[in-house]
Amino acid sequence: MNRREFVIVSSAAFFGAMMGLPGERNGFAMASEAVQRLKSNPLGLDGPDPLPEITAAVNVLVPADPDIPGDFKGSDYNGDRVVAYVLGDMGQASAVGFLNKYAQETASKDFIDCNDDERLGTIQAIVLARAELEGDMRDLLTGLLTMSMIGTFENNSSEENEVLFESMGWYDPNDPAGTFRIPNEGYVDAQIFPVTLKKGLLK
Amino acid sequence: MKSEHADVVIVGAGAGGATLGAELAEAGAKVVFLEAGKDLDITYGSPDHFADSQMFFKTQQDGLFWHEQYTGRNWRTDMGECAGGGTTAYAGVLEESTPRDYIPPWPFSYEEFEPYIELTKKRYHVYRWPVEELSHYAQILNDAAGGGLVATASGFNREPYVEYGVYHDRCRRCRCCILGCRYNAKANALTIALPKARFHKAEIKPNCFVKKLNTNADMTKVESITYLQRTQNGAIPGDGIEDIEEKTITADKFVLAAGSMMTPMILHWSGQNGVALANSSGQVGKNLRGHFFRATYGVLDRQDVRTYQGNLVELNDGYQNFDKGYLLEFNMVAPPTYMGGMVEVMQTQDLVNMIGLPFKKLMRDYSRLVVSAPLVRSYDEGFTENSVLPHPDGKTNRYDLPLPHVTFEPNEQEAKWVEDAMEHAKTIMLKAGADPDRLLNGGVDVVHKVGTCRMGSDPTNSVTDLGGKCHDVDNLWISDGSRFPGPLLANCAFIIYALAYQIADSMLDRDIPTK
Repeated sequence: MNRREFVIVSSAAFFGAMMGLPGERNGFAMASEAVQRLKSNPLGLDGPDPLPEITAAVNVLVPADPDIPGDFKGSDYNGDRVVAYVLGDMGQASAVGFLNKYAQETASKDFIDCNDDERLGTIQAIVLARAELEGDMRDLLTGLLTMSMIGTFENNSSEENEVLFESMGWYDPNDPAGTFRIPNEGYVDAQIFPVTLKKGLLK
Repeated sequence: MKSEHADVVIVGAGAGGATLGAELAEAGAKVVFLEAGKDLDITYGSPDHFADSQMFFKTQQDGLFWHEQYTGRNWRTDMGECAGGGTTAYAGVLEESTPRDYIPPWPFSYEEFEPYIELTKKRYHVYRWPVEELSHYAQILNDAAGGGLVATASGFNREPYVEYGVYHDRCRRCRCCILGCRYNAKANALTIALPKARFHKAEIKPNCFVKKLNTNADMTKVESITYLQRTQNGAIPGDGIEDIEEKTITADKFVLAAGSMMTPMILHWSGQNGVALANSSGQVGKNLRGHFFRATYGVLDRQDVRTYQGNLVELNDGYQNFDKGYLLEFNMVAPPTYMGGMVEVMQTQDLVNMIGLPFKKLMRDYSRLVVSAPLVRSYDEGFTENSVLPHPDGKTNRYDLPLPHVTFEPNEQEAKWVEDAMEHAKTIMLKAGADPDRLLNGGVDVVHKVGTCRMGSDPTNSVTDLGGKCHDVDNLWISDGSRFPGPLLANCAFIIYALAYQIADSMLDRDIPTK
C-alpha cells in the first residue's frame, strides 16, 4: 500500500464508519474505485474543473496544518480536482446542492458565502444528521470526505514533498534510495524495510 | 432451472472447505466449491487493503446478518467472503495448537490428534520467529514488559518453492504482514489449499449464495443444493443492480464449510416444518463462543518507530496458554482497523470534531500507533447461552431467508478477564512510552467465533461425529469452526485446518493420518 492508498483507505474507513455505513460500505467502494482510476491517472486532471464549492469543501476538510512547515491545504494537492474527477459534473452539482441545503440551515447562507468556520459547521451538521440522510446522500458525503484526502501527501513537486515528509518524520532526504527514513537504526532489522516513497511520482 | 452433478459439493472455500476439498480432489473426487464471495488467485496477497476490507465485511454489506447490539455497538461477523475465506485477511496468524486446546469436552486428546497437528504445521509452514529477531516495535514492547514477549506463530514461506504449478516466494521479513504480503509469501487457504484443489481439477464457483440443502422426506439424505449465482461483483442492497440466477447442483456427498455463522443458518434454512436439518440434538446454532476483548489504542511518544512494521507479539510466561484467562497480544493494525477503531471508541460529537485538521493529525499518528487486543478465552464447559439462530421476529434478508439473529454476552468470568487483560496491556503500553493522555479503550468486542454445530460422539448433544459427518444425515459433513465442542484457546484457523485433514481421511476411509 503506498501513501496515496493509505490516505484513501484510512479516510474511507474513518468517514464511512463516522457516517454509520455498515462495514464502511460505500466509502470503501468509492475509495477502491478512486484508487483504480488514479493508478492510470494520478492527478485526475482530465476530469471537469472543480466547482468553487467543492474546492472550498475540500479545503475545510483538509486544511493546512500550522504545526507542519510546508503543509498544504487540500486544493494545493489537487484534492478538489480529484473530487471533481470522481464525482463528475452531475455528482458535483448534487454535492453543491447538498452543501447549500445544510449551509442555509446552519448559517442562513449558501455554502460558498460561508467563512471557514461556518463551512466546517455545515459539514459537521451533515454528519450529525446522518441518521436522517438518504442512503445516496450519505454515500455522496462519504465520498466527498474521502476523496478530499486523495493526493494529500503526493501531488506536489518533489521539493515540496521533501519539506513536508521530512517535517513529518517520514522521509530522509539524505537517503539516496528515496525511501522512508529508516526508523530502526541500531536494531536488528534496521536495513530490512526500504519502502519506496514514490518520490517524484508525478514528474 | 439448471442442474449439474459432482462427487462432492463444498459450501465455502475457506480454511475448512479449501483444505478438505484439496484432499478430496487429490484422491480423485470431482469437487465443486460453492463460494459466496469472489474468486481470487494466489497472487492476491492483499497488497490492496480495500479488497480485504470489502470482502472481510462483505456479509455486513450484504445485509445478510442481523446484529444484536452488544453494549450499544455492532460487532463484526469476522467472515472472509472470498476464496480462501477469512484466512486471506490480516497477518497470516496461525497460532500453533497446544495440549491445552484439547481438554474436555474436546472428544480427543492432543496426542490422538497430533498427527494432524504436525501435518498442518508442515503444510501451512507454521513458524515463530526467534525473539532476538523480532522487530523494533516488538523489542520496545518486550523491554516494557520486562521480557517474555514472543512472536505470534504465523504461516509463511521461509524458502521459495514451486508446488502444483504455482510459485511461492519467500518471506522477506519486511514485517508489514498486516498491510498484506507484497511477496505472496503468506501461507493460507488461498495460497496453499486452493492451488492444490485447482491442480486436481476442483471447480470453484464464485458468487454463489447457498439457499438450501434439499433433502429426502425424512431429512436423512441431502439430494441437491439450491444456490443463487450472483453478479460478478456481488451487490449492495438498495442499488437494485443485483442479477441472480437460481441453480441446483446434485452430488453424492455434501460439505458445509461456510463458517460458524453461516453453516448453522444454512441448516436452519434447509429444515422442514420448522425443524432444522441435522438438528435432532437441538444444538444447531447453539454454543456460539469466541474471544472477547477490549482494544486499547495508544500513541507512542517517540518518533523512531513504525509500528505497522512489527511482528504480532504476545506475552509468554504464563499468558501464552491463557493460564490467566487471556492472551496478551500487541497488534499491528491496518489503516481501516485503526480508523474504524477510532470511530468505535469516540462519541458522536467527538467524531464530528475530528473533521478537518484533527483528522490529519490522527492519521499522522498511525506510524506511532500501539494497539493491544488481548484475547480472553471462552470460559464454559462446552455449552454456552450464546447462539446464532433464525430471527425470532421473522426478519428476512433480501432473498426471503430468515436473518441470523446473534446473541453474544460474556459471562462473569469472561468479563473480568476482559478488564484484567486491558489493564495489563495498558500498563505495558505506558511503560513503552505511550502518551497517557491519548490512551483510548474500545468497547467489548469478540473475534474468532466458533461453535454452533458442535461435534461429539453422543448424537443427543452434538451435531457431527468425530469425523465431521452429521449424525442425522447420511451424506452431509461439516468442515469449519462450527464443530468446536468446547472452549478455544488461541487462533482457531490452525485447528480448522487440522480438522479438515481429519475429515478428509474419514470421508476417504484412509488410515490416519494423511500421508
